[in-house]
Amino acid sequence: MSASIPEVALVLCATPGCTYGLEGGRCVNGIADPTDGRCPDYPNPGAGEINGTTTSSEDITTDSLTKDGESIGGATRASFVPLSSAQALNAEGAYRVTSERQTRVVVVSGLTRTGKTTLVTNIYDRFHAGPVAGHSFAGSQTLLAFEEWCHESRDASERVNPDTKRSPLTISGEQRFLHLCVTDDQSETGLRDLLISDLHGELFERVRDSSAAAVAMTVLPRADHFVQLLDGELLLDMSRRHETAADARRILQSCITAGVLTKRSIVQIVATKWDLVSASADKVAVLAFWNAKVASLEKLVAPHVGGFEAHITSARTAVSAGGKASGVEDLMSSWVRNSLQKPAASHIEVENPIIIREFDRVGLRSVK
Amino acid sequence: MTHDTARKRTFLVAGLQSSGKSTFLAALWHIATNDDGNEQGLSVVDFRGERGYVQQLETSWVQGEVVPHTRRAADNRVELVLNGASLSGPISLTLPDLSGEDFRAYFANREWPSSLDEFVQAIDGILLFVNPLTLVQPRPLSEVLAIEDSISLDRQSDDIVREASAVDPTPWDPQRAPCSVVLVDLLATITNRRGRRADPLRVAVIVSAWDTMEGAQVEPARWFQRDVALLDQYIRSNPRLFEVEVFGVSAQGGDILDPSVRETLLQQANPTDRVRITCNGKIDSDLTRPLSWLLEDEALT
Repeated sequence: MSASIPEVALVLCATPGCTYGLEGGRCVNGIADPTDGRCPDYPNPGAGEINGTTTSSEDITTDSLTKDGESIGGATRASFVPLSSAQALNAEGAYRVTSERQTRVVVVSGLTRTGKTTLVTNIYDRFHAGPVAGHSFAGSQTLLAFEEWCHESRDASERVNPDTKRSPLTISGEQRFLHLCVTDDQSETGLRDLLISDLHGELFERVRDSSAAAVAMTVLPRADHFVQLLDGELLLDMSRRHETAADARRILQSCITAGVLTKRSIVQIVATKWDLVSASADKVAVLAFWNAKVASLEKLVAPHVGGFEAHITSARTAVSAGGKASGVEDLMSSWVRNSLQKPAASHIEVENPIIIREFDRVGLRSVK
Repeated sequence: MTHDTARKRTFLVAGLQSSGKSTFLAALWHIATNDDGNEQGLSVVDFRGERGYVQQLETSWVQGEVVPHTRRAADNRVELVLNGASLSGPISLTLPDLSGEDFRAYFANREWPSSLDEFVQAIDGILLFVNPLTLVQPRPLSEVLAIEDSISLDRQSDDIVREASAVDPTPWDPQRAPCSVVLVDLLATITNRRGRRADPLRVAVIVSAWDTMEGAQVEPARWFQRDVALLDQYIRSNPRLFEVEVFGVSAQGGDILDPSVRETLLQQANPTDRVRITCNGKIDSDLTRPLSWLLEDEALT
C-alpha cells in the first residue's frame, strides 16, 4: 500500500481584490505564496476552500453588507471589471486617440541609450511639480507606463544615480506610444493631446540602414514632429562625436529618401545630456561642433520639410534650477503649439498591421 | 424609508491609507448621533457597516486619541445616510474602502469590483481625502543630488558615502505609486465609466490634519495646488468633468500627541467644537460644509 499524500486545502482569501487560489489569480498584496504566513490578510475569514469544504467561486463574497443582492466595494470572485491598462499604447490604441481628438504626434528618434525615454518621461515627471511651460497636466492614458519608467530616476528607487528603464523591444517591433493631455489656450477645447513614440533604438538603426524600414514605420508621415536626438555625452567624446552626428544624418537622409518626412513635418534636432557638456572643460569646442552640425543638417533637411528647429536639453537638470534651464520645457511647448499636419488627415494609418509585423520580424532577425 | 426618496444624493468617499477618512467619519458620526453641538440637526437615517467599529472610532475621537488605523479587512465598507436642516435633502455617504488599500490594489491590478463599477456610475459627487502628513510624493533623484551638492563642496566623498550605503535598488511597485497618480487614475476611471454627462462631477477635496499646516499661512486650495500638483492640474484642467472645492479639515482640532494641546482640546465641553474647517478664508466648526457644497444647486455656485 503506497503512502497517501496528505490533501492540503487551498483556502481562498476573501480580501477585496484578492484572487489568489483562482485560475490565473494573484494575491492582492503581491505575495507569490500567501499561504507561507507573510501575507497580513491571508487567510481572510469568510473564504471558501478548495479540496476542503468546497465553496464555488461564485458563492464567495467579500461583502457582508449586501443589500438587495448588491454590494459596494466587495464583490464575488467572478465579478471584477477590467480597467484600462494604462500601459503604452500600440498602433491601434494610438489610432483611437488620433481619431477622437486633435492630437500632436511626436516621433523621438535616436540610437540606443541616446536618452529618448529619459526625455519623454522627464517631461511627464515635471508635471508633478506644477505646470510645464504654462501647460497644465490634463490626463494620460498611459499613467502606469510613465510611472514605471520614471521610477529609476526617483528617490524611491534607492539608486545612487538616476537612470531610466530602456524601452522594451517587442518581438514584433510594434510601434508604441505614450499619451499626455495638456492644456493649450490655442486649442478649441482648451486641451491638446500628445502621442509620443516610445521606440527602441534598434528600430532606428534599421531606419538608418534602410529606407524600406522608414517606409514600414507607418507613423512617420503622420508625425507632427520628428525629433532626432544627439547624445551630448557622445559629442564630448572625440572618438565618437563624428559617428554620432553621421548616424543622425543617415537616419534623416533615409527618412527623406523614403518620403516619410514631408512639408507637413517639423524636424527638431535635439542635443541630450547637455549638463555633461556644460560641466566639461571642452564645452566651447563641443558647442562649436554642435552648431556646425546643426547648420549642416539644416541644409540637408530644411528643403524637404515644413519646419526645422534645434534644441539643447539636459533632462536631468533639477526642476528647482528653473524650467528654462533644462530646455525640455521649450521643446514640449513646441510640440503642443506647432503643427503643419492637416486636421482632416490627423489619424495614424494602421492599414496592413500584419504586414508591418511580418516585416519587423524579418528586420529583427536581420539585426541579431 | 425616508432615505430612499428621489431626493437622496449619493456620494463616494475616497482616499488612500491614513488620509483622514476614519477620523472624519468618527466626528461626523458623533455629531449625527448626539444632540450636544449638533446645530445642523444632523441625524443618521440609515447605516450599513460595522457599527461597533465606527463607535470605536468615535470613542477614540471623543477622547482625543489617535483614531486607530483601519486594518484591511473584508468589511471595509460603510454607508451612512444622513439628513439635517443644513442639508437640502438626505445624502448617502459611501466609503467602499475605509482602509484605503483597495484603491491602490485596483490601480495596480487594473480591475475593480463590478459592484463598485455600477456604484460610481450613479454617484453625485466625491469627498476625496488627502493628508499632508502621509502623502507619498515623487522625488526626482536629480533634486536630491542637487540638494546634496548645495550643502556639500565635497561631492566626490558624498558619492563614495552614497555608494557605500547604497542598498540594492528598489524595483518598481505600482502599489507604491505616488498618491496623486493613484487619485488621478481613480478620477479618470470614474469619469470614464460614467460616460459623457451634462454636468461636471463635484469633488470636495478634504485636506485632513489641516492644523499641521496652519503655520504655513497658506489656504488649503493653494497648498493642494502646490503639493498635490498633478491631481490639482488634472481636476482644474477638465472643467467639463469636474467642479472642485478644497477644504482644510482638522477633525481633532490640533496636535493631540502634544499633551498640552490635547488637554486644552479636551477642556471644551462639546467635542464638536474642536473641529475646524478652513475654506476660502472662512474658519468654523461646521463639518457639514463640504457636504453642503456638494449639495448646492448649480445656480448657487
